[in-house]
Amino acid sequence: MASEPLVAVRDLTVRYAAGDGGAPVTAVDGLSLAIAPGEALGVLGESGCGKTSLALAILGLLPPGGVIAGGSIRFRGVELVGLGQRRLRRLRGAEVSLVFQEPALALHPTRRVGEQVVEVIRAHRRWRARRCRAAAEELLAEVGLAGLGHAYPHQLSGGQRQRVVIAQALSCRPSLVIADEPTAALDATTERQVLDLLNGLRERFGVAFLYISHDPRVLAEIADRLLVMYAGRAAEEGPREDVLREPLHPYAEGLLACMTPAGPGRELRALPGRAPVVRVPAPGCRFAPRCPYRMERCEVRDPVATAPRQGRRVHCFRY
Amino acid sequence: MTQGPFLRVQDLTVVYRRGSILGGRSAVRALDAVSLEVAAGSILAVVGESGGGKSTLARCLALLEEPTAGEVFVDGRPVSELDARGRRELRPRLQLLFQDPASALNPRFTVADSVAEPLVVRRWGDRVRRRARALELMDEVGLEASLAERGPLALSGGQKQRLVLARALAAEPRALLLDEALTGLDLSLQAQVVNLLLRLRECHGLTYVLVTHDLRLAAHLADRVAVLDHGRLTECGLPGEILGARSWP
Repeated sequence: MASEPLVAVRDLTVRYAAGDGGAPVTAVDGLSLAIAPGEALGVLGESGCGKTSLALAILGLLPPGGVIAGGSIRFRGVELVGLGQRRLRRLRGAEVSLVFQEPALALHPTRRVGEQVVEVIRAHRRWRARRCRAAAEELLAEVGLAGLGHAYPHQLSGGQRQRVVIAQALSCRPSLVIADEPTAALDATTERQVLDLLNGLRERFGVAFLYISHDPRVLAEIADRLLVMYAGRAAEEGPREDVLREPLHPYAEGLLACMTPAGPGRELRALPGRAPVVRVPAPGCRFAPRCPYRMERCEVRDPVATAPRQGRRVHCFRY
Repeated sequence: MTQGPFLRVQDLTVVYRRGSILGGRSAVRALDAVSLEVAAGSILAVVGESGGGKSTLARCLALLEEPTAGEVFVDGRPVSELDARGRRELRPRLQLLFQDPASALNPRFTVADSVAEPLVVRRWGDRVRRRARALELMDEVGLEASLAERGPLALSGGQKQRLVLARALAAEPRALLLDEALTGLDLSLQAQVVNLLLRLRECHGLTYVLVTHDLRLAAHLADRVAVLDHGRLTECGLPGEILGARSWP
């Protein structure tokens, strides 16, 4: 494996100004991660844990009110925090691209999908129109939509629309694709097809993925490594198989236990309570109030990352 | 509790006709001669791909859709024999819940008002009693009384789904028809709502029809599983038989 990571995020903090004029909300709180070229990192977490903010921060696309309050994001060694919009724009779509959850929102409703793929290529390549069109057709064939370039988005199914967005995302051969719950709106069969497609494309083009999902089953299909996030922080990180088989952090353990079949009519092992919204970061583990193994020090000090097993990183005093 | 199935459909067929502006007509068979039954107090999961007819079935069972052919039986009585009044009285007993609770809530109502609305429609009690009943129901689904005066937009996804459940219970239903009602929820919240549904079934003797494309959820909640494909019932049986001994990863 290459020694230099493709993306290195260090101590990233993202804050949003509160709508009610109160203290800002800390969405991402001192998060670090690294993705090697060609690697798929799965970010597992529930709504509000900051995983989408993480994705938007890397792309420099935080919505108004959102700021990177600290930390660094390096892509191929270039610092992205503080980089000008023009340089970021050149990077987005070409080097790093994004696939959202809702493909209908990412596509123009009254333009043919083929043109929309062409548009992305033309934004980044100085190619003649004919060459752009040929490339777009090739891409659509690549994602299983050969000959459908003339269709409008409403004529396609949800899965097909997501394929169009994937074709757009891959159009300039990026080295990183950030996928934010791309299959959450799809049914089980279509989800499987899109995951197979992404895995196939990953092998063909050697593209790295930052794949965000709340569903461990999806990440089990696509990620090499998993990062479990809770309340803006990393809870645990490690190889996919290891984290899924033997979660070490109590939150990861509780989350995965929610999915363990209990038999018809039997209650599930649900995690009590819900994740906090962090306004004023206070010391102490964010998960402590819900944690079955809570100790005194959990509430007064931040747990430091330890590596209790090969390749694992856990933020918990138990290790 | 009644003997025999609480809900039964016999040769249920729903055809949607679509006229195009060019004058041509096409017909979509959303349901094609589907027959199945749901025992009182049991959970039937209806699974299948998008467009398989799952939601149409749920709407028929909620008496919101008129079948093209076939019959829906509730508690052994054919629905087609009911007059308008009979239907009006039966409909609240069969509560339909959707995936997106936000779209089913009036943003200008407070949480307590939303829960009390079915009581108002039924002309149940006076203001004070309705308010007290709404707080009882909120407590039953695990919504704190402090949320009573908030608007539904201030609630989280899981809380909204609980609110919709409390409102459904206010109608004193016999069955809940959950059309992907657990789909958008995070796993830990989903597990909480699943446990709540199981508890409510015990307390109220409810029958559930769970429409979902989540086979894991179907496997572990349902007593029976029905598979719909392009409007046809392709399989119906015990979860173990149909979904196999699924485990993960």
